[in-house]
Amino acid sequence: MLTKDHAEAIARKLNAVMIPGRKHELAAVKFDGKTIVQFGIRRGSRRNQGHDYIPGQIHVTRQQAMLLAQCPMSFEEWIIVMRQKGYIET
Amino acid sequence: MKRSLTRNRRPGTSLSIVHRRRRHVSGETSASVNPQILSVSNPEPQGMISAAEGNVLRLKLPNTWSPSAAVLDELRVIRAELNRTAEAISIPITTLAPEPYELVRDIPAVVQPVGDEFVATFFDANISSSGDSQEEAVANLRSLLLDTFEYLESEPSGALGPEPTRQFGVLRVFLKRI
Repeated sequence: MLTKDHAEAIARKLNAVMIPGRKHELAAVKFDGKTIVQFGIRRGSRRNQGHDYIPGQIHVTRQQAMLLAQCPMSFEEWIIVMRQKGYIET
Repeated sequence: MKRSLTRNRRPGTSLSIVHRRRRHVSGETSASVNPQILSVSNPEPQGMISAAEGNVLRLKLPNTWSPSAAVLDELRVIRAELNRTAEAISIPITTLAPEPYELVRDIPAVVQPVGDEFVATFFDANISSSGDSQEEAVANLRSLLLDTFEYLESEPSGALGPEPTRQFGVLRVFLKRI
């Protein structure tokens, strides 16, 4: 399960700008001055809150999301995936 | 995935294993599992299949058998796997009250069990949130839709990539400020 800790680690890895919301903090990921993805991180103190929806929000597999959270996948590698999928205009 | 319960068997009590697509695990001596996920082997002579109807299989074991903690843990893992693959349901979001927005049309939220939680998704806009219950997941999605709309609206034109631009376009079709 992707936890809140994983979600926050992914946001840090992607240098996301955190925007306070109602029940979430919105993590907006920018590249070349443009927002390319954003996803919500649930508020609350429980560190094991599920965030299994995040892979779909950042257009990667669940395994790639775990790699982002746990370090093996870098921001640059994720950008390459986004380019390949057309989420960043070339 | 193949699992075997027989290694945990102790002689003495009985176990009824019921295979169904949606089931729950309760009590000390009964469980339902998906036959596509769980395969129970029972090589001991006193074990026997007492009934096999459709996708329901009943297996009788000695009366002194009682499931160990390991068996129960294994069944909980199976339950989580089944929950993850269970069918999704669609729950329309029909109002955004008391927020100062109105819906132009209902937002179809698809709610899927994932582990012990639920994920609610508005697929057209690719926006999802989760919660401990279906209600909480949909409530979280509702608030995240508004947070996302307000964020995308606040960004200057040209500052959104292809996907956020598309998402904002979809959200504007479904909701507007009062």
